[in-house]
Amino acid sequence: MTIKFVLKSIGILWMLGSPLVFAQNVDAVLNHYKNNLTQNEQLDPNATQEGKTLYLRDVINKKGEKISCHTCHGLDPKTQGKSKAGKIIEPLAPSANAQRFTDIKKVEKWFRRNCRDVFDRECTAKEKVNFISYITSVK
Amino acid sequence: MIRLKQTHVPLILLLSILTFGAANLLYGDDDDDDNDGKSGEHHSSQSSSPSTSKKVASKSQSATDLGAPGYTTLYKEECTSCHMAYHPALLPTASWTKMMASLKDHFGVDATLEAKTQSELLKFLVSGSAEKNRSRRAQKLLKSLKGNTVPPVSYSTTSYFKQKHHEISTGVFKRKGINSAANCLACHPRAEEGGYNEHEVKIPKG
Ligand code: HEC
Repeated sequence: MTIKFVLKSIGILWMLGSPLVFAQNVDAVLNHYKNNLTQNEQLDPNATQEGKTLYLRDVINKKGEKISCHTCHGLDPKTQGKSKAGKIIEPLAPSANAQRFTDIKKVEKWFRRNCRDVFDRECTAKEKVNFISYITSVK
Repeated sequence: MIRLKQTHVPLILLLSILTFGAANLLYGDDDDDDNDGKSGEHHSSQSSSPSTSKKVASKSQSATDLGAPGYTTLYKEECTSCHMAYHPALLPTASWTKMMASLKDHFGVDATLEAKTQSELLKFLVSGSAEKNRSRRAQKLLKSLKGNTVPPVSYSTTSYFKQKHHEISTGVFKRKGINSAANCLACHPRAEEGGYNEHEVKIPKG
């Protein structure tokens, strides 16, 4: 029973600890990803430019639809976008929407979903650093 | 004469109340009874004039209102980033259960959630699902689904929805101000609070 409890606790702590840094501002969120690069990943010297390329990259997803990050978020991240269901999405750029990239849990959730929708896979930590670098550079 | 009139006053009053009341029940009824056929079976050939032979079940128009569902903060946060707040009584329990188990492909979008969030949301949806709703609208939806082996995952694909919207062409749903049949709110201003009364409908022109 005690072993079970200890194992459980370790499991819970591990689950809580790894993706969750209690980041409350853009820099902390960005640093979280910078500190979580996989072993063979290196930071891009021109992260902002790479991030822009990622944001604008059109792909045909597995459902045969042409899709990209800007499909929902708009060509200019300072402007409102639109979900598939037609609902307004507030701007992604922190210069236009101060709440963006301040809640790591929320950021992670949407990276997971949106990267899967567009690229059929999750984005890497490096890609997330690039993406945030670009979006936060848009003034 | 006078004596006769006096004795007849309460009678006349009673009679007028009865007739008025009956007429009110028959004709003042909500749109929900307009096409009260076996849903989906022959709605295309049905006229939209109210049939007088059917039984009158409701006492007021509000009996068709689904009622305000009291959305939880979690529901608003998780579900309304992408779409309007769908009333839990729009679908039966089996539909919500199926939908919440397939969020990986939620109408073409990945809407995956943490397990705990997912089960809390399902609990909320099920607590207010069509089966728990006393309105005629919910009861009719359930009746129309009887015999279906596969629970519908969207309201707009049910025969009940189609019957209620038989006069709306597909082009109308595609208008810019509407987007799709999934956007109830475009034409039913009180959709999120469960009000779908025909008299309140405003269809965007473009
Ligand atoms: C199918 C539509 C859609 C597509 C495509 C899409 N997004 Fe999103 N994204 C959303 C919605 C909806 C939200 C949440 C809306 C809100 O918070 O206002 C969101 C939120 C986000 C957030 C959360 C930001 C924050 O802090 O609030 C990030 C990060 C994000 N998206 C990244 C991306 C990336 C990267 C891509 C391209 C790979 C992408 N999105 C493509 C719909 C989309």
